[in-house]
Amino acid sequence: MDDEQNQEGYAMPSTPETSSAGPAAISVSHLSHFFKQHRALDDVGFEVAPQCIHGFVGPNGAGKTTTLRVIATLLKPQHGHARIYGHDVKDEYREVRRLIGFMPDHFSMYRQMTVFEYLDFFAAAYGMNLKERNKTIGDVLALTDMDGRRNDLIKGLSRGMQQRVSLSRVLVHDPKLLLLDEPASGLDPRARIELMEILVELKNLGKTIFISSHILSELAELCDSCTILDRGQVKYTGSMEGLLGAHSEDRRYRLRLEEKNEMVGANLAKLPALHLCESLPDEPGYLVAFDSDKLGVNEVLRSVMDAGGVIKAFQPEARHLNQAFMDLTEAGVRT
Amino acid sequence: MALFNRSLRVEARSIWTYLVRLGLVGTISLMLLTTWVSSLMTNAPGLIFFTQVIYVDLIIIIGVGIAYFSSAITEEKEEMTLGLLIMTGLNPISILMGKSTSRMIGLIFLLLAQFPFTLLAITLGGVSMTQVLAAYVCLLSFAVFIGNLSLFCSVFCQRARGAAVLATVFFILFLCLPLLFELFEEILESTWSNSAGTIAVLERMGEKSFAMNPFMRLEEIRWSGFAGSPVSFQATSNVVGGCLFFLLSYAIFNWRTREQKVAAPSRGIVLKAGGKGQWISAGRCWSKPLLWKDFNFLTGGKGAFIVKTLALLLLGGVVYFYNYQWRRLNGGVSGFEGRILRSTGEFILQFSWLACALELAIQAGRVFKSEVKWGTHSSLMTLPLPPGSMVTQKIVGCLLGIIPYFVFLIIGMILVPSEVDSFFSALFRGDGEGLALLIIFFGAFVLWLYLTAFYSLILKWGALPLALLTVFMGTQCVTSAIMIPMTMMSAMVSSFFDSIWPFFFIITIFLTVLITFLHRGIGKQLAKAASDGQ
Repeated sequence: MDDEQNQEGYAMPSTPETSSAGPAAISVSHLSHFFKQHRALDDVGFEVAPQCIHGFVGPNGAGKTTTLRVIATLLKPQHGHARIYGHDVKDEYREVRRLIGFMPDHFSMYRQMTVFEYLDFFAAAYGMNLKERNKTIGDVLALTDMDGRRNDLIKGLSRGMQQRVSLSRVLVHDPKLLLLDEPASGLDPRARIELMEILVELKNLGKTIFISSHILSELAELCDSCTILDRGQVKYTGSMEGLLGAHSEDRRYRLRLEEKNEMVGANLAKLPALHLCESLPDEPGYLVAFDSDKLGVNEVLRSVMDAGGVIKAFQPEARHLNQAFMDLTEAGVRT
Repeated sequence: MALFNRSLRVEARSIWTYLVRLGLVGTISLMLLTTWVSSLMTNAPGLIFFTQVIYVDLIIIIGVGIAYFSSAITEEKEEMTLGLLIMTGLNPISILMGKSTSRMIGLIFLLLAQFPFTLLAITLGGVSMTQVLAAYVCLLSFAVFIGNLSLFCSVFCQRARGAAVLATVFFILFLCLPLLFELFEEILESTWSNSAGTIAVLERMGEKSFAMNPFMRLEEIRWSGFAGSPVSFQATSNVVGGCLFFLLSYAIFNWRTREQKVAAPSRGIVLKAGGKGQWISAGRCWSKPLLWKDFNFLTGGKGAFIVKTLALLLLGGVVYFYNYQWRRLNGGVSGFEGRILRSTGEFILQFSWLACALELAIQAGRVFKSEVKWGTHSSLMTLPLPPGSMVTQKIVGCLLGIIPYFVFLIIGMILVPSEVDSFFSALFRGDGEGLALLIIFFGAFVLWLYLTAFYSLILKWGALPLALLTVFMGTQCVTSAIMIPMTMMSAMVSSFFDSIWPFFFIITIFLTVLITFLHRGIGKQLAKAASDGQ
């Protein structure tokens, strides 16, 4: 994908094209959707490569759930296209449904059933015979560590356990793509961490995971790529590294000194194309940012040494996903 | 007052309030037209109009009263907001008044809005002012009774559905009170020789419970020459009964609302696999998964199947015993065994049809609603099953639950083969008019089921009675709409009324179009609910 850059220095999405190596797991192009007068999605486009974990991030009301429901074949796209492994969600929805496992944001479960009955029901709905069902249910329960609770009523389980059962359900028919809408919401830290571990394991098993979430810190560690959506528009789509600063022109560096030296700051301030020079709050040193086209790292380091500064470390500062999220999305109430 | 104000505002903003009123005004207008047509043939069109209006009102009060009031407190319980209301310091009386008074005002307004129309009956002839006043006093007092009875059920039950079912059961018991007293009398008479005093008391109570019945009171009022007081025993007893139920609601309020229970679907009597009652567990899922699911978790599965069968057999036994006792007290059993069996068989035939229809209507109200209510429809919609197959499996799953009634029906048919015989001969007599009527009746029944299912997806509660009301009013409207032009045409073509077939074709087409429209409407509502993420 040819990336442009937006005002904040992040790679902007371009209209996705089908990769020559095979169809993308998800390919969304020019997707727009209206609810009466309200434009929920505005020319949304992104691609998700197979066998990766893709984060789908955005403030409340950004259009995440609408996009997810289009991909899950629950909402017909009004304008544009969405394809799952090359199959159009509108025209080939039956094939798409076999390829995906969708976990909605609310706990939509038959809570009066036992764990086994619940999984047995969905496995039968996917056309499996008794033998296949026995094997698959055993496997998914083992994967989600719920084997010991198979005869428990779902309504008697904790929220974290219910989420595991829900995840087991989307795995019973061995889908290639998992669509998870806020899977960690309402879970305690332990349950969240355990869920994320399961997701990593699923990725290693070759599944593609498309995960919508608000918990940015966990997404940063978990995801290979992500899409940020705001007010129905894609603000960023691409790799996590790209989002967290690798492609930014106005890159920040953390300069750590052995001891405090006022001259270093004065010398740095004289440099052209230097946008930022702030003292570090917790140790001797500075946070600097400069236009890398006009000023080289060597020139910066020379200026420090000329002022008598003893350099302890000089490293690019990785942006946190929270910061990127705040930079890319607008403040205010979504309607 | 804050709660009362809020309820009034919510009612005033709801489009349904106005749609119901519009429907009622439309029905009354059609009734007026029917009356005009009738006036060409009868001498007392006012009485016909008056009778139609008061009975429609009574049915509305029963339907709306049960549906509307049984959700008064349960809606707060279901939305887990009752605890918040209690924590604000509101006492039970304020909550009960706040939640029920606005509903009562809505219901009373609905009745009063028709009062001027009803007065037209006096102008049309055959009805006096005293009759109109007496009818409205009867209806208003009955509204107070049924409203507070349903309010009590709403406090007692956790869910609106349970409250509506309990209120319906209480109401049927209320209607059956005279019969029950009579039954007790006969049992006492046959088993206890010194029971004269008790029997006299029971007899008196039976008479009083008969006088409390609004149907009986309206029947009394509508007779020409009625000159009684508008305020009768029925009116006072109904108001007193209503007040008692309100006080009971207050008395049990704290007990029934102390614990806030998280809403979760019930498993009923379906046992878990692996335990002692393995044979009535849901077992492994069948190759038709939705059929298995709805049979087990909607109709109650094998356990409910057995319970229903046993309950029906027990009921048959009780009816046989009652008939046997009655015959014993009225001339002896000898030589009448066949008649006792026939009376029992007739009851079984009628009851099994009614129970079957009611169970189907209840399942129609739940079959799709439960998926939307518990948010499971979005998972279902992503299954690679054709929508037609899903719907068929769900319907068959519900139909399996009514097999016990069919077994009961067959027992009834065996007991009274002559009734079955005469039913089939009536169907094919002449040019098949009986069959045509049966088809229309069946079509109207299917329409009722479809309407119940459709309303259940767009309304929070009251789908079943509202569907019944719609079908009832719709029948009135369609009959009027067909009768009026046909009466006019019959004046020109005298042989027009000779055959039922013109009616049959018009009504069948009308029913087919409506059912098709509703079928599509249900599919659209489900898809909409899934795409909205409800």
